[in-house]
Amino acid sequence: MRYILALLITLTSLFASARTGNAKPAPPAEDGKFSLSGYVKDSKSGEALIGATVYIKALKIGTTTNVYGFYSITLPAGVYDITCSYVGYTTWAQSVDLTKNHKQNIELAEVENQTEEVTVTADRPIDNVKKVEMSVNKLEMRTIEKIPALLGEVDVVRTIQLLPGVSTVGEGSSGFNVRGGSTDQNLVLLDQAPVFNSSHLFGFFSVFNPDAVANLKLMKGGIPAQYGGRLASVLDVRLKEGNNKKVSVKGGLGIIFSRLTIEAPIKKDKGSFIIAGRRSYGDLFLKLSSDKDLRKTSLYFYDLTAKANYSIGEKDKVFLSGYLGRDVFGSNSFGFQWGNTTTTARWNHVFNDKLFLNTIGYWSKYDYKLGAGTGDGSFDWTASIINTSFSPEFTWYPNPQNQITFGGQSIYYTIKPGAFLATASDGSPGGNSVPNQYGAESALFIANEQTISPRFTAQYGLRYSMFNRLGKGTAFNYNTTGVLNTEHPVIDSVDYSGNAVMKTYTVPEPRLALKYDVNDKSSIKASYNRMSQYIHLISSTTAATPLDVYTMSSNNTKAEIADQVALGYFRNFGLNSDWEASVEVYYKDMQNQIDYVDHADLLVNPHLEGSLLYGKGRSYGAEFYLKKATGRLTGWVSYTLSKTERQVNGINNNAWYNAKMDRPHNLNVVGSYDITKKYCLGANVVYTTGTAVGLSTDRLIFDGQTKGVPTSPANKRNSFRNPDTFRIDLSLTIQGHKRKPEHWYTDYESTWVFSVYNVLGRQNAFGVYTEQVATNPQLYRAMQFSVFGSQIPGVTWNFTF
Amino acid sequence: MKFIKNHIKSLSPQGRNFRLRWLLLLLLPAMSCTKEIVLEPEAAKPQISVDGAIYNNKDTQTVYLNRTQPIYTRDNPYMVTGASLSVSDDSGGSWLFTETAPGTYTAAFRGKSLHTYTLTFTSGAYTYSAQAYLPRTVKPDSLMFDFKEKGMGQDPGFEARLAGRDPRGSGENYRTKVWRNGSEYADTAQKSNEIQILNDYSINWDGLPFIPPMEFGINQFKRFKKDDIVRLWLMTTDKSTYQFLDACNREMNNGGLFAVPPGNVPTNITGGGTDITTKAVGHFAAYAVSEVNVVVPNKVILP
Repeated sequence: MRYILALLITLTSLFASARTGNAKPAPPAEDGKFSLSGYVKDSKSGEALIGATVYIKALKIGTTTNVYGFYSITLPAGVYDITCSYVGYTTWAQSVDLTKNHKQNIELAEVENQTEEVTVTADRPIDNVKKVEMSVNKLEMRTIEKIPALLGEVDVVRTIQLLPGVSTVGEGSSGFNVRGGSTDQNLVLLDQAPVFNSSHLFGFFSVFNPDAVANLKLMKGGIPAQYGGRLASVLDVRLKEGNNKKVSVKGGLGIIFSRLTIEAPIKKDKGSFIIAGRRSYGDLFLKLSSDKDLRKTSLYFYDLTAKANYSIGEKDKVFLSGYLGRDVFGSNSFGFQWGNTTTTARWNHVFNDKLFLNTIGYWSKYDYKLGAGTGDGSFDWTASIINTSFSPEFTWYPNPQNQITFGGQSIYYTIKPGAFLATASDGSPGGNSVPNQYGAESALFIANEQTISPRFTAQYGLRYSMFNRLGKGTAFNYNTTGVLNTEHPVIDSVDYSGNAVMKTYTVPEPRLALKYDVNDKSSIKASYNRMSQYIHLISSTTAATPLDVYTMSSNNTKAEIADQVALGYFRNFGLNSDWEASVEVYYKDMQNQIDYVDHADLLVNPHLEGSLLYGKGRSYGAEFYLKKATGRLTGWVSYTLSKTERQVNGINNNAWYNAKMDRPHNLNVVGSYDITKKYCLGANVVYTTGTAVGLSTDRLIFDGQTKGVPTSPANKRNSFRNPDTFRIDLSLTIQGHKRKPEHWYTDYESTWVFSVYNVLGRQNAFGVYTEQVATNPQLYRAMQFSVFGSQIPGVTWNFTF
Repeated sequence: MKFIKNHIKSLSPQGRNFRLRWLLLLLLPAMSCTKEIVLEPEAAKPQISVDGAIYNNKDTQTVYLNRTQPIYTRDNPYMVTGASLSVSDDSGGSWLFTETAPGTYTAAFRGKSLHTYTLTFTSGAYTYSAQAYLPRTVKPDSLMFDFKEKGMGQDPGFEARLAGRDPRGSGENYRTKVWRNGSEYADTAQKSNEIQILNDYSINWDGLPFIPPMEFGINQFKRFKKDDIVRLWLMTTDKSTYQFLDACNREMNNGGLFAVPPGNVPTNITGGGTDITTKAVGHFAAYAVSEVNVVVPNKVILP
């Protein structure tokens, strides 16, 4: 409580000072200082540039733009040469006579092609070294587009899997694992709204349409205080704002799906929109089949991504974004579909040159439906998670030494774990459903990024989060005194009425990041963060399935908490510092991790928590990263050496065991090379230790000696390892049609992308398992399952009008 | 989950791997593959394994005793000989079993509905026991066959449908077992003998007409041919047996993209010593059986 009071007081005083500032339209300069502020944008499309550097050479100080492209810096009166730079863009320079608060909007032009080494100013700021943030990877879409992709389809999540500290449980599995976290421990944000299932087609493609994505940032540690609610990472995907200069149409035809994106100004330089859609067409080929039932089969996914923004005067800008995606498949008698829907509304308000407000409201839903038949003999099964959030976020630039972020967030969750409706052949109703779960997650946060000395910067803050599990609902108590890894029976239960508080958790989450410049080219950084999580994905399978449900913290399921420390050395090399290198080590401790009793029934189970086990986790490792962001050759090498373990009473004889995502060695080499202006070659090399798996060790014979069944009396978990994964992918991008502005129908550009995924055709193991011998059901044999057993070629044609 | 899985399987002749197969065969053609590999996981020390059941439609009851073996062995089961074994019921009946073949113990009596049977046996220095309840019999109403044209990768043939109704009162645990032309009919295409089971309480359908897998499960995702001789058992059993069979199903069919960590199948055998190797595993069951015999495509209506 004291924490909350302290935070409230701080927030109130900050608000008060902000309001004072706002009341006076032109605040007088303190000690002859004035502010320089504005937005940095792409000159061609008007897109905000996030993280662009504004630098004052004479004073050797600078600042970077926030996620809306806004920057602010306070300087003594004087004439300054100001530069603004951003990777892949030509540097902007101008002289400014600062005699009053000055608004300077900047437009940067993209470097058209990088076949010749770009001349970059010698004092190019080197973010990798100079920024306080660590354990962060940022990717631009134009980098991702050059990476060889499965079936030629550029994919955001598959690219993330190539970064240090990131692993997966296998090809074709949904999501990604960060520093030993589960897939549900990543906060995946699409324009700040959480996406609960980031995959189409069971994990082969992610839900993000690459044509609509501007950039993405993966935060694995040192996570700033405005983010919370998940243990492992934040993946912040930002959509393009839409071209506010002219209409632009972009698209592509691929083997699996096609894409079309339209961007246009609503009013030139004032507002714009983007609408992007994709649809797969595997099922259209089925229509050609001679098999009547196959013709009636549907098997496709689609998604629609849209965003609009509009500037209302100089001080206000509003954004509206939305996503709707669906995977559908079924036959004439059966249907299965799932997908995410998100909407985000944001309002940017510049109170004055020093105070920036971003207010976010979002609504996000993940749901799935299973159904068969209509009328008699039919069944219908639905489940969903819905959340609604409101969050004001202030950024205050009191002086060049401090940048304070503060605000709050409130999220209301509704989980429908499963409603099942069956109609019997004679029309009588049946089925049952698990009652809805309700909960509210709130947080207050404040953080300051302070330049303590020219060499030493600290970012420190606190997020104070609280979760209330709310009624209507029933809290069960389970008997856990018996054999732990079998279902626990209910002892008693307490009913709660609507909106009654069933259980409260509060977690103070300190966040700290420090940076010390060793010299102009290298720095040392350290961070500590505590994260909490109140919603949990319930999934016992190796790869998460679309049918998995979320559950909330309760009297049984405690808040998950993770503490992480990281230390890193960052250094840039080369004439223009175009080689960025870093080494980071981390240790993470996780509490209240969820596992499952043997043969747990996780779906439509009103006593689900009777099948859950709770324990702890730890993960530690070292990450090596070398990146080249500019020039003809771009790409990175990442190597991660790590260990991830869990300890859960009832599993593995209560001893620590390797988590399924534990892959000690993880090497990725990603490169693209512009051979000429026309041809660009891309390659990935991936080497990873196999995942940890369990294998049955014994068999017993049953059912009148007719069948054998695998069993594991030694009760060991994940004591085997799949064979190592090794894969090489190649791609060739060829510039096709060149823009000819004479006619509208020739005024476009096109590219062909040819790719081969898994060039070596290696059968990398997804898993090994035990399979019954068809001819003798008493016997078993060991099998290896590979998602890809051969080379996968792909071709895509992309165009931009 | 069980029910949903079964429902999906029953509705789609492609069965269990509906999603994987369709995805991988139709959308990403011939991408995935499986191959046999050689693994030698370290087996636990052998334990006595019980395989016994009391039936209300058999005149001779059999209990098998053997030992657990390494998973990938090609050896025959190691039988446990020389045990002394008996079964008693809750109304004073008691039957001494005799070893008619190595590890095979039999006694001549017929199980009766609504009775609890207790198995007791001694092997070496240790004594073990287990209990099983033989519940009420549930009779189906009819078994019929519908002709289906070629489709969904299946040749033309007959699809069976078992109609009936769950009697009022929650707690029924069902199993169906089918023989086609004398041999147990299994889903061999799936390389696994999945046991068709369903209860009426996990998803509440107490008192309602049969639903999958009982309704269509006997098809085993295949089609019957004309003149096939079909024998169907509609069996009811107790919750402990249901849980054992459910666990067996999960362990027998665990692989691929959505595998779960392998577990231990539960047992209802108690006794033995303190050391784990002196404990017994396996299961002692009791079944109430309704039998239907038919030649495809005749329709059977039960009285």
